Amino acid sequence: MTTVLLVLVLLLLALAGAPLFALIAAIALVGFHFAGQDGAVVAIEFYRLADMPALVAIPLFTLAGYLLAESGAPKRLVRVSNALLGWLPGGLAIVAIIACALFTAFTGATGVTIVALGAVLFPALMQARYGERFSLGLLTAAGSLGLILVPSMPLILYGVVAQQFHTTPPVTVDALFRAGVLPCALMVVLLSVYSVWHARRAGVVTGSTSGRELAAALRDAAWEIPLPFVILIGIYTGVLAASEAAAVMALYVLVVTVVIRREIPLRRLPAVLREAMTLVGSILVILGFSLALTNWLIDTGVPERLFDAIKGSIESKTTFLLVLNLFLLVFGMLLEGFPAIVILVPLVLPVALGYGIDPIHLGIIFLANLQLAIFLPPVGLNLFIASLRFGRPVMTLVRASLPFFLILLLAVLIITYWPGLSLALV
Amino acid sequence: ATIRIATLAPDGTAWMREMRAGADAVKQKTEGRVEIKYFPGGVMGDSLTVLRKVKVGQLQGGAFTAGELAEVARDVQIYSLPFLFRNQDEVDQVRAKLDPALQASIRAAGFEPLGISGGGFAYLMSTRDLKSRDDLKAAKVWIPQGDKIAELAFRTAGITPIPLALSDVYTSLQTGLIDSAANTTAGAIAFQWHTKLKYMIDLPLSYVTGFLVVDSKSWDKIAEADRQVVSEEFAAVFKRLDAQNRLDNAAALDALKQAGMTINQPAAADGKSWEALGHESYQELIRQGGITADMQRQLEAALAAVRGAAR
Amino acid sequence: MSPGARRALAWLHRFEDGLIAVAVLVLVLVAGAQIVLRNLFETGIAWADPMLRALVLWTAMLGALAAARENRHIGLDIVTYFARGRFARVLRVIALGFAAVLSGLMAWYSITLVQLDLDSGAKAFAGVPVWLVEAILPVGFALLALRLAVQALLPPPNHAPVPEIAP
Ligand code: NA
Ligand code: NA
Repeated sequence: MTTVLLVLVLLLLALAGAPLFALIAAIALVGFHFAGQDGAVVAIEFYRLADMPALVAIPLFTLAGYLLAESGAPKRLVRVSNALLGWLPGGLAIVAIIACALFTAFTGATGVTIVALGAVLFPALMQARYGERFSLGLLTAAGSLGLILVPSMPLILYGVVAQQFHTTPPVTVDALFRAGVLPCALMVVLLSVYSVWHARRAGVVTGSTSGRELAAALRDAAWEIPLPFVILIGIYTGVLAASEAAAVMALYVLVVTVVIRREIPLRRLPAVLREAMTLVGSILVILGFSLALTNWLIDTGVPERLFDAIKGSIESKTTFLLVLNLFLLVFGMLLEGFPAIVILVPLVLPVALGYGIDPIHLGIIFLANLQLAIFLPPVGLNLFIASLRFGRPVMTLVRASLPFFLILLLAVLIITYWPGLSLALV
Repeated sequence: ATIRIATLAPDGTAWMREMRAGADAVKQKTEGRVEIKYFPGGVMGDSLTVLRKVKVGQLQGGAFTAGELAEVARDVQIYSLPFLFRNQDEVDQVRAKLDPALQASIRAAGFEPLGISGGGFAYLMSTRDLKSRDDLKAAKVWIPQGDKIAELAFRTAGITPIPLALSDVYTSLQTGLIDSAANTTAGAIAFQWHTKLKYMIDLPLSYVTGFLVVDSKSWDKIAEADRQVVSEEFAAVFKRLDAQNRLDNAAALDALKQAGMTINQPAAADGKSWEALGHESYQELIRQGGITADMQRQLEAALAAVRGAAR
Repeated sequence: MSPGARRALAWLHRFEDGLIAVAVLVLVLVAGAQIVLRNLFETGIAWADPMLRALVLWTAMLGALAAARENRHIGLDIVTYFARGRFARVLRVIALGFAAVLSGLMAWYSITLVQLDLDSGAKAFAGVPVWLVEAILPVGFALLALRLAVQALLPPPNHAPVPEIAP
């Protein structure tokens, strides 16, 4: 009875717009209180934010992402990919897909991707006669694409939360970075194939190829081009740990944007630093309390009981995975991406381990589903962001993104039932 | 009463099986008045976090290494002094004399010792083909976070060790943050380090000890008769563990060889300098007040007695 | 607000922003130096890694304070987005008032944590005691509680055309 009342109160507070960190802190404090423990346990767990080497990567990658977004890098990125692929039928759409995936991977943002790149890409797609419906759907879907691509912040967060359970083998951020590459490539390829098919059918205008434009575009982006390669190769060969790759990237981007290109004037730098750390702060505070929440779950043995309860009704791993997909899609839509990681991973991971699912594969399944849930009707957040950005009703965007949703759903099913795809590079 | 105990040892290991057997026996003999619940695998955090949680009452106890428990009772690390013992026999004789003194110093720090376990000798293992002290200078050696003796020993040898939490060692071996780490042979296998480390120097560095302690305040709340039961059961558990550890370490050495680990004999010329290194870091530790003067006297007397008798 | 209070507040904001900028730049430079030392000179700074981890906690708390100042803490805004007038004010008082109370509680419990490590005397890195690293928690949460309480009483900001934070 008390529990029901508490859940109700918290739900109302959530709807009233209470910050998520306060809601999670409340659950942890009330939970420990009923377990007969001192509230100081929550402070002890929160302090473990200063105990985790993997977390150093978060402020560093975020800083680099904000500096890049603030500079002319996105425009140069689109120009280079366009020069490379613009001549293909469907080439411009593929450019949009790749640019959106890279932008999300490096900034950790999905809604911002639609806003920042939509401004450049939507008019270009319309001008090339891809049609409004296709262009809107593509950009809405591509907003969250790249969540499982190195060095995305959600991958790091999953790793940090999963490490609390000390699995064998341990869930390292590096392994997650390597695991996400092929599944993300699968999504990019499937979307690209559909785009080429659509471009042929719709009679899209194809850009011309020009060696001179390509050379100019490459020269223009000379400082940014090495970046993805250094990060990918550094992590893939094991030369750089995730937090080291983050430090290299942050230092490099800082020097390029502020000292070499001077696109960010020195007096504007503190404001950009504060902007970036505002995001980091609002995320890490939630993570800190979610460590306490996780500890409460472990302390009271909830995951074991949950597993015992589920084991009674779901026997096979296959069925479990299917139920997991549905569960993640619905809750991922309601919890809007990031919160889903810190709230659902502690509940889902121990149960999934019980069914013999690899914790690294689970991370990719988890985030691939979230990526889909972020624009799942009726309340997927990116549908609303795209609706605001492009000034179209939400229903129009739901219809427009449906084919892309189905294609990515197919990709998510392949990723879920084919662990080898995720684990091949680990 | 429920005693909640955290340990870094992963579930399913021999150590945890014995711990659970002890808990079952206690529960049965006290007719459920004393229940012991474990949180294995480090899910409650590192040793500093566990100590904090003991202080606020979320946990009542924990299993610690000597270096970790030295945070509250510095004398517990005497068995871990580098190159102190020459063989297991010396360890057994000195422990028979000094274990009671260690237990007293743990009680003085506000904890009830349920057991001291001898984990065996730690050996240096590496991804590099280490043989001599010089080879070691280029190595990136792990030491447990806060382990002052290990830090002192490596610094005396002219090496800057890299302190990390035990739970970060595997990951850091993978990323190359460290390339060498010392542990018992059984420990190397339990934590899966043997999948990364390929060379081992056949030289006992130090003796590894573990301590199972319970907060005195919680302990005193248990009825006298029940405390007796718990103490006896866990004394038996630790006796079995000591015997088991010896078998495990021998078996683990075979397993390491099977897994392709190369066992290097220490370079002959280094024989003297290793022992000198041990002596040097011992003197430095005394200078820094790392162990109490009283314990130092007892330790030196015990060692002299053992070696005198052997002569 | 009196001109004096306004000046003090502006000074506090500038101090916070300065602290964030210093923390982040130190984070980048020390992390970068550590990689160079490790990969080129096979050595490293012993206190670098624990210091970087402590800086993560400090940037997190300072960032959370900045987020409160700018109304940017993550939460659901399906209802608040469409709320207007008196209803919006009431929602704001409830939601941010609740967060202020929770932050206050956390400031209180963090004092216990600091006290624990004042007693233990444990060191975090390079002679800096653990309690000093932890001290950002009671200070930060107390300021956060104060700031959220003030924000709760202020009118809701105009909605930005697009939520800034995702995913
Ligand atoms: Na994207
Ligand atoms: Na841990």
